[in-house]
Amino acid sequence: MPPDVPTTGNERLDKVTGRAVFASDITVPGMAHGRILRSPLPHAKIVKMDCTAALALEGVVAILSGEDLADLAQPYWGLYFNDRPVIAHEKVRYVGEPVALVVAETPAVAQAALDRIDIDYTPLPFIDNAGDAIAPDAPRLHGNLEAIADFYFKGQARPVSGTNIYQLYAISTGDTAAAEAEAARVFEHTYTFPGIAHYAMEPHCVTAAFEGDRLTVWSGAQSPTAVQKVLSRVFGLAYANVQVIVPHIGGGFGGKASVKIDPLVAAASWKAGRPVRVALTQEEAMLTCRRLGASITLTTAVDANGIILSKRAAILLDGGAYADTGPAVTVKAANRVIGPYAIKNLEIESRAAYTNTVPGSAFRSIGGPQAVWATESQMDEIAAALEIDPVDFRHRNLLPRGGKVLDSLRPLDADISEMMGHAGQAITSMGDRPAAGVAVAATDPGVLPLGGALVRLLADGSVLVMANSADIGQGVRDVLRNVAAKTLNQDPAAIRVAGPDTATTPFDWGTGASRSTVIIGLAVEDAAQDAREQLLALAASALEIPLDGVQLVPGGVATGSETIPFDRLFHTAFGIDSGEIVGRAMVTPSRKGSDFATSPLFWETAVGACDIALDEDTGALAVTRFAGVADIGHAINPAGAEGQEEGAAIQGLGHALYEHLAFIDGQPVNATPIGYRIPAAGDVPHAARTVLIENADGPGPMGAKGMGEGGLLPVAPAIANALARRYGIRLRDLPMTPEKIWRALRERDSDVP
Amino acid sequence: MYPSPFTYHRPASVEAAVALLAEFGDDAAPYAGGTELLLAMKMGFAQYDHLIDLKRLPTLRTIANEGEFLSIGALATHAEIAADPTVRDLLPPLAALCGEVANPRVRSSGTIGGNLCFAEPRADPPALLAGLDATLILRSTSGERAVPAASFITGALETVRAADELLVRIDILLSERRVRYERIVFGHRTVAGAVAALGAPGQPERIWVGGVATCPAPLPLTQSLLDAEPGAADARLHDAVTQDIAALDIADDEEASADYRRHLAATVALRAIAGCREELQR
Repeated sequence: MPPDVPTTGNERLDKVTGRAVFASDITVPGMAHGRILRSPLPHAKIVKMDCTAALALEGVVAILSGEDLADLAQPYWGLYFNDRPVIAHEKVRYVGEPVALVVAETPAVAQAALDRIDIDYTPLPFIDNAGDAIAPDAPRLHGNLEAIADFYFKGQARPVSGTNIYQLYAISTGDTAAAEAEAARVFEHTYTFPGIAHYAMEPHCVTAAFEGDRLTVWSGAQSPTAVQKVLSRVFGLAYANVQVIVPHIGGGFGGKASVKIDPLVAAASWKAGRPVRVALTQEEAMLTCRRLGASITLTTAVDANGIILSKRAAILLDGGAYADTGPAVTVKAANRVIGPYAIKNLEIESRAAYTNTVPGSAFRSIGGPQAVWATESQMDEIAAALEIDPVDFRHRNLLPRGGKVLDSLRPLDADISEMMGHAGQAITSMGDRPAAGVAVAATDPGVLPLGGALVRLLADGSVLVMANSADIGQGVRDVLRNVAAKTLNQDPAAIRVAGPDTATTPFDWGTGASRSTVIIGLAVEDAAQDAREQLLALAASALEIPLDGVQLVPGGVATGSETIPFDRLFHTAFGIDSGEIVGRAMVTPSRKGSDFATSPLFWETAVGACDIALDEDTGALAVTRFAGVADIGHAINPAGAEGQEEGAAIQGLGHALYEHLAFIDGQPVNATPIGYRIPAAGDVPHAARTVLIENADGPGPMGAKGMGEGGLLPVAPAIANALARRYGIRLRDLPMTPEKIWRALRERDSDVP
Repeated sequence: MYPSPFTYHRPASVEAAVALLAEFGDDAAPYAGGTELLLAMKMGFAQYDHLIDLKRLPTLRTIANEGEFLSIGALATHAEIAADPTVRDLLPPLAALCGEVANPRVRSSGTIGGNLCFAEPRADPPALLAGLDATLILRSTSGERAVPAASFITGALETVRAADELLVRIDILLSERRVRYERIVFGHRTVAGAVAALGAPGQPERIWVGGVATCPAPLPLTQSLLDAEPGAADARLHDAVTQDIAALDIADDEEASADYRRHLAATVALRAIAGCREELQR
């Protein structure tokens, strides 16, 4: 039967030696291979589909199409609405949408069969941008859908009936009209942000095996329990009969969060009666999900002293063909557009609309980069107009530690002002000039405090930590190992972290929103504490000494006079030198000793500062120095934490300068690794510093806060601010390509009398 | 994702390779480094029933100083050319360019001949070799012919190579010209490149751009101006370059609008000329 997924003690060694098992390495006896036929049209009715010739090809096992959906328990699924068919059903809503899945003995045969499927489409009017999607006469992608409450994220979406708007979220405090009326100046600017591909090194890969009413899925999934939940609905299976196993993941960035191709591949296995493996290409991954594009108009009123009196924000997000987790992105974009500033009067409206493009979904700091791009660009624009130094302008308006971004949110748990100081120092430590551009961010991670862990101490002193946190390259297993080692006072080398596997590891919401270190870190700490207490009680009772006379030492228990290895202790207690201690814990919103009642559980804060060099002849820009500062409470895995911050900053560099998943007439025009540019090693600033603030004041183990997203946020606005400050041009549309910079330079020079 | 099925041939001699090309014609493709061919086949942009693997033909990768000219085997990889002491000595700009194109993986398997024959409009070596007035030697079962690099590529992915011909080597006449290649690269793609080969007494000045239009192109007004007035003032040079580039067929694409690309082409052409002039003054 299915192979075990090995997890060993040293993931990095496994990865560099090629031993690490990823989803695409899984083979299952009897496994067939699937390839996907995708829609060539952005919006169309499927009038006819003839698979006869494809089925006649030798080696073709089965073909899944929309006609099969009638036999499923729940053919449409989703996280906020059941808006997405397992496979296109009667119509297609974006170029790249799966319309047929051929299962064959080899991937090559499956691929060859795709050309033999005959489909007739009747094109429908389409929309490929959010502005068109909200026009009164816009064609609609979906009928009025019923919102599902508390399914994946807490809460539910508020669609606008009769429109393409699937989420409308508003924040209103104070009186912005009155504030604007009394303001010295009111500034209004619009900033735009494109759709962006996740571009994980490993595209999505799923192997699914149905056996009667039991379904096993190997998936590079960040949220195995969400996959389990959706699969159980789609196929009418008990949770206990849906096993989701997650091997190593070659990058996720949110593109493997919630649920992606798992229902499709499982349905192919269900149809074929065979285990089926589907490994997407990078091109296909780019047609599977993306970050939501945005247009953000900010209207900000300031008094004569440079104090912000009010802020209005109109946020419109391009949601793509299916809502996925877009409603949560919409909410977070609204919260995150405020910034760590004291603003009494706020009027924020955030909307996301369906368009006939690749579905928008979660991506590292949902809604954050869009919002921070707008807010932090405008902060500098206002400072420049008021002739105030932009750092000084921020100081005048920053919330102090303990200040409130919104009354409903937890007070700010970081000192942004101090962080700006660190960023400035880091920049000048790498070169003479001060920073050319600075940006700050404070975001509220949507951390659901729900997740468990088992810590099993085995007779030989080795320890199995079992948790559903997925290793997406962030090093979570190192974190969990360190937490267990510390709590149990054991050598980290004795500890193996296993999972995720929904059949053996306790429930966890998923890996995302910077939550694993805090929530599963606490679960492991609690479970290790439980194991510790059981061990000490066992030792006291077996050795007939008082409880306070024993303590845990590496490899066993110490009584003061002697050290007893675990196997001897078990021998004494159980009669043979076997057995184990199972520590268990489930972190819930009411966890003792934690304040989980207020959101966010912690703030994810970031300051970025940079210097740039520009070739004014060509518009080619290089970031010459970059400093990132994050308040992460405590670095349980310092190398991993720094790597996360730096990786986020480099991803932010891609957002700033290169990346734009483009559509022309609904057709993706650069959704290939050749056409789509991400940062390469040569693009990374040669001088870069990361400063981690550690005050042990977070809610996680040892005072840790979650981290890993924030570093992305300040990069684009810091660069834009540097361009404005050093070169006198202001770009408001990402990415800041050399051509856009060149045009701005030409405009600047033509304005000079 | 998967190339359409093909028959793989591994000829043991250049004669055998040419015979296979004669036999299969359009249905066959010579397979050298595969860095462009295999990608195109995997993406479904190209289909061939026969691939003729040249990698075991060492005579095709010889690099030699032939006195009057430098001879480079078509199968020499970018990395080999970059590291070759003869090329570094006689034509440093060619060695430097071959050491910078694409990435280490492409440089270690991609070949100069493959680069020319694939005729990707954004490739750099074709423009440099056209500017150097190199000669390409094509062989078929009926013998060899010489084609100037300047007229080898006729459009995007199009060359004068007949289906039964194999590019076997590139001969570059050694001259007193100072050579400068300048390019602008965004990510892994060149958006404009230019070569200036100037200053050999009695020889015409050569200025070519690449990565701009569908194939490398000379800048005739600029060449004439420099032929007539080697010390022409910058403003006149700028005008000539701008006029030359205005005459080229350049289209908007995803990487750059046409006007921006024209500006970049003029920028690199002027930089290449300025670089050569600096060297001449040393």
